[in-house]
Amino acid sequence: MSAAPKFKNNVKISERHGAGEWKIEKLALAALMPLSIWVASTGLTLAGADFATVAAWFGNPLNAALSAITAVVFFLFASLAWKVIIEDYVPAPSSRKTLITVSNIAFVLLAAGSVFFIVRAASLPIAGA
Amino acid sequence: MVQLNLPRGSKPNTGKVHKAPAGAKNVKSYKVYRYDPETDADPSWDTFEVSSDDHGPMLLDALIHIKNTIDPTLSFRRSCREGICGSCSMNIDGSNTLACTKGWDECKSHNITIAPLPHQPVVKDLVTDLSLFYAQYDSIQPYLQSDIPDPEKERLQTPEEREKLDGLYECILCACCSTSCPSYWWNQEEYIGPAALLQSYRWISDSRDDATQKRLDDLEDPFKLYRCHTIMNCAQVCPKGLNPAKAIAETKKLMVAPSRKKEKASA
Repeated sequence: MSAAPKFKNNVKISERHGAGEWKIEKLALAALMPLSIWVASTGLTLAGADFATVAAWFGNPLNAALSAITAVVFFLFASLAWKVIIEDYVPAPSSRKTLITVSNIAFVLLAAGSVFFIVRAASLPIAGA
Repeated sequence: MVQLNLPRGSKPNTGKVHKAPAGAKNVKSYKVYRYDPETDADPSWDTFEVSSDDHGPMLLDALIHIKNTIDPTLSFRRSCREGICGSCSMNIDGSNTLACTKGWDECKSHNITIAPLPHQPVVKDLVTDLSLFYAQYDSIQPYLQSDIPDPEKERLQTPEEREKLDGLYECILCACCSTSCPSYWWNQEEYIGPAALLQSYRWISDSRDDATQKRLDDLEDPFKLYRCHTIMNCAQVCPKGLNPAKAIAETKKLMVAPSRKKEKASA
């Protein structure tokens, strides 16, 4: 969050940023489209599979890498989307700032946790056996 | 935090009912928002039953008839009565439009609700305070800014360059679009709204204007421009059939265009 907005004749003066965030949001969304299809198709393939099969799937470096990328991109997009929602509906600057910080921390933890567990699943001894 | 309860005066009471004379035919009922700042009373919904045979084909004709024959205190703006001045913009049956171009026979129900433009301070009855809306329009510098000194005659454009302004220059600043936009409702102090952004894009698209990068710089802001979430209410209600959402999308594309980066770096 930046400093308090400045106004001229009751109209906000541009902060001269925003295009970068918009571009990242759109790129993340574009990346999520094929990744989501891949996750959905994988979910259908692995549904009902036994532990060894799933562990072997994660043991494939390509699967593990794509899973980690999907998780990171998803939580990046989610954090940007929640930032917009909070900015839209929470007008008080202090509450807005606090909520955005909390949501960002939550999504960083979720992304880090996802990557951690994907790496752990990928390094299980049974994997690739 | 989020305010869930509405402030006082947000829920209009039931007001006066003006019945149609006995034997009147083709009667429509107009439920009109009333608010008088000179009294301490909450706003109310007055009902006027009017025979459509007694006035012209448009809703503005009905309102003028009501003002002339039933209640002269009813306040609303009107001027050209043909969709050019944008004065009589109001919310009719839940949708912003011009009362002068909306026929009463276009309203399916016999009970037509007429309210002021949403989320604007009400001055009286159907008249809203559009000061901020005009300040936002003023902020986009809606005039030609050219590096070329004034030529002896007009500044020429090719027919193709002129065509790019179609769908942009026709805006009459009625505020139907901006006041129908939920994003504008929540953040109009910082988001300048679809009307101002459409007009900004009208000058950005003008081949004779040389201030494109400055105009884009002045708009690049998480709130001024990027509160547009492509809800499309603006395009749906525009009485001139324009598409402000498309103009905003084009502006967003220009913001990240490679040419803009170059201009920024060389600036």
